[in-house]
Amino acid sequence: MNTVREEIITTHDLNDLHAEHLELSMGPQHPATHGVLQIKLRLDGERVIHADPIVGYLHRGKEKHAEHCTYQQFFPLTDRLDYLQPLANEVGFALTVETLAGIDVPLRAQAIRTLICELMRLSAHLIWVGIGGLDIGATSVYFYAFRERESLFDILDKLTGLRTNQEYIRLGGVGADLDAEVIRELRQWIADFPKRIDEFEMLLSGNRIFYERMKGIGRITAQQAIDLGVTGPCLRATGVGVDLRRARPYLLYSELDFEIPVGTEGDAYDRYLVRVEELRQSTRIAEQLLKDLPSGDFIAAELKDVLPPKGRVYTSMEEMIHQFKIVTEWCPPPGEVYQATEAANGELGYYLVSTGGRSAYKLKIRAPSFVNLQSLKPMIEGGYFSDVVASIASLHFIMGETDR
Amino acid sequence: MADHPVSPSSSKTEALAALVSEFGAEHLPDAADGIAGILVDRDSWLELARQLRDQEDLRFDLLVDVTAVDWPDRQPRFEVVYHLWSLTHNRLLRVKVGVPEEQAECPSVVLVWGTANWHEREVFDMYGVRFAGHPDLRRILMPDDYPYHPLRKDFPLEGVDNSVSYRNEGGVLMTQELFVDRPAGQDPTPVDRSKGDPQGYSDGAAPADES
Repeated sequence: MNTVREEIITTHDLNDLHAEHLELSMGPQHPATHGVLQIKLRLDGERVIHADPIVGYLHRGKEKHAEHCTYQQFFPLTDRLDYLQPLANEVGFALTVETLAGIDVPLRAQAIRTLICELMRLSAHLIWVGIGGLDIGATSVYFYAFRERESLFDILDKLTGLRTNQEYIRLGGVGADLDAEVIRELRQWIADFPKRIDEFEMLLSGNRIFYERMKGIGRITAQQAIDLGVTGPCLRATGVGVDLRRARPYLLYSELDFEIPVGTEGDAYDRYLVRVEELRQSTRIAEQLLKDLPSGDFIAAELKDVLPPKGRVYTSMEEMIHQFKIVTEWCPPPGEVYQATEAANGELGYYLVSTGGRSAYKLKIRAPSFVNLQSLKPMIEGGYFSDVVASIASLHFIMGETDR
Repeated sequence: MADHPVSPSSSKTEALAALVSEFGAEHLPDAADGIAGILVDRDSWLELARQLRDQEDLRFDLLVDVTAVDWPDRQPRFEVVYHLWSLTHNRLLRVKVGVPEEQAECPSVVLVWGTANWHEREVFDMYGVRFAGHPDLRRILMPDDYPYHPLRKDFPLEGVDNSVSYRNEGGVLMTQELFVDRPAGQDPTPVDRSKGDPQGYSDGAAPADES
C-alpha cells in the first residue's frame, strides 16, 4: 500500500482531477468473484483503466496427480474441476481414455451419459441463473433456481448415491442403470421444467433493472472472442454458432434434434439469453432421450477393460480377482489423444499422453473457464467499476477448473 | 459451419502438406484420436503459425490449447504441444515444437493467437520453458516467487518445503531460508507457539469452543 500512496502523492495535481489513479484489489475473498479470483484494478474515478486477473489460489496440482494415480483413481479428481457439473467432467475423461484404449461403450450407456451431460448443463446453468441474478441484485431468482437444482439433485442422489461429486461414470459405461423410478421422476422433472424457465425469464429477462445492468456491458466482438480462444455460451453470444455437440459430435448428439442459440451483441445480456435458451434446448434433448432410452447393458459386457458389476464381484471369485486387477494393473496402450466435450462453459478438453503405464504420462486439462477468463480484461477495461460484477457474473467461470 | 465430424485424414490437406515441406516440418504418425500432427522446428514456428492462421485453405483461427510434455531421457527434453482448430473448415491440427533443456526457449505466438498469453504463462510456470517475445511472462498458477517448475518429471509429487531452498555443497545438503530479500513489511510474521497453536488448536486437543 505504501507504494500506491507515494505514487498518488507524487502524481497529485490539483489542476488535473484525472491524475489520481486508485489501485484496487478485488478478491480473492470478494463474494462476487465466484470463489478465489483476484482482480487488480486501476481506477480513474469510476472508470476501470487497467485490469489484471490473478488466478491460481485454488491450484491443487491435479495434472501432477494424474501422472501418479491410476486411471480409475483419477475419476473423483475430475469431479472437482467444474464442481457444478461433476459428471460432465467425468464423461470427458472417460471418453478420452476410451478413445485411447479403444473401448466400445454400449448404446444404453451412451444414452445415459448423454442424458447426464444435459442434466449437468441444466444444473450448472441453474446456478448461473441464480448466482448471476444475485450478483446483479435480483435476489428472488436465486431461490427459484436453487429449488429446481435441489429437486434435480434428489433424483441424481437416487441414481448415483450422492447429491454432487457423484463419481458415477466408469470406463466402458456408467456405474448403475437408470431404474424405472428414476426415469419416471426425471420425466416428471423435465416436463415441469419449461414452466420454471418461464418463471426465471419473468423475473429477469423483462426486468428493467436487470436489463439496464446487463445490456451493452462487457461487450466483446466475435473476432476478439476467437482470438482469445473463448468457447461455449460466451462465444455463441457474439454470434458464432459453434457448439462441439454439432461441430465434433460425441456420444449420441449427432442423432438428437436441438438448436444452437446465438447472440448478436456479445454483451452480458446476450450471454444471459444464450444460457437461458440453452436451458430450453437441454430440456428438449433430455426429453428425447427419456422418450425411448435404448435397452441393453449400462456397462460394456466384454470385461477386458472395464470394472465388473458389483453384484458379481461379491459372489464370484473370478470377478473379484478381475476387479482387483482392473483397479490396480489396468494399462491402456501407448499413444496420445485429445478429446473435447461441450461443457456448460465451453470446450472441456483432455490431452492424454500414455506410455503404456498404469497412470497417464501426461494429462493436460483444457479448462474452458481458464481460457474464457482471459476475456474478462477486454470486457471490463474502459467500463465502469460497478459493471465489473456484471461482466464477471455473465462470463461465469469456475475457479476449481480454472486453477485445476 | 461444417456439420460433419472430424475424420482421421481431414486435416491432411494439400495446403498443409505444401506448408510442411516449405518449412521443413514433418508429419507425426497417426494418433488414436485421428488428429493430424506436425513436428515443427522452433526457428520456423512463428512464421508457420502465421501461415496456418492466414492461409485460405487452412484458417486455423482458434488456438485451443498449449501445453508441454517433459521427456527427461529424450533430446530435446521438452515438447511444446499446440492444438489448433479451424472454425471455417472444422479441422483440428496438433503441432509439436521441440525445446532443449539447455536453452529452454520457444517463440511466443501471442501475436498470432491472443489466447496463447495465459497458456504460455502456464507452460512457463509448470515446465520452465520461456517464450521469446511474450509480453508478460509471469507465473500464473504458482506464487510469483516460487522457485521450481512443478510439472517437470524430476519434481516430486509430495512437493518440497518451499520456505527453504536446498543446495548441495560438497556432499552436504545446505538449507537456506527463502524470501529473505522480500521488501520490508512482507516478511512472514513469526508465530508465537509457546502458548499452543495460534488458532487455538494444540496437539491432539479439540478446537476451542467458539461460543
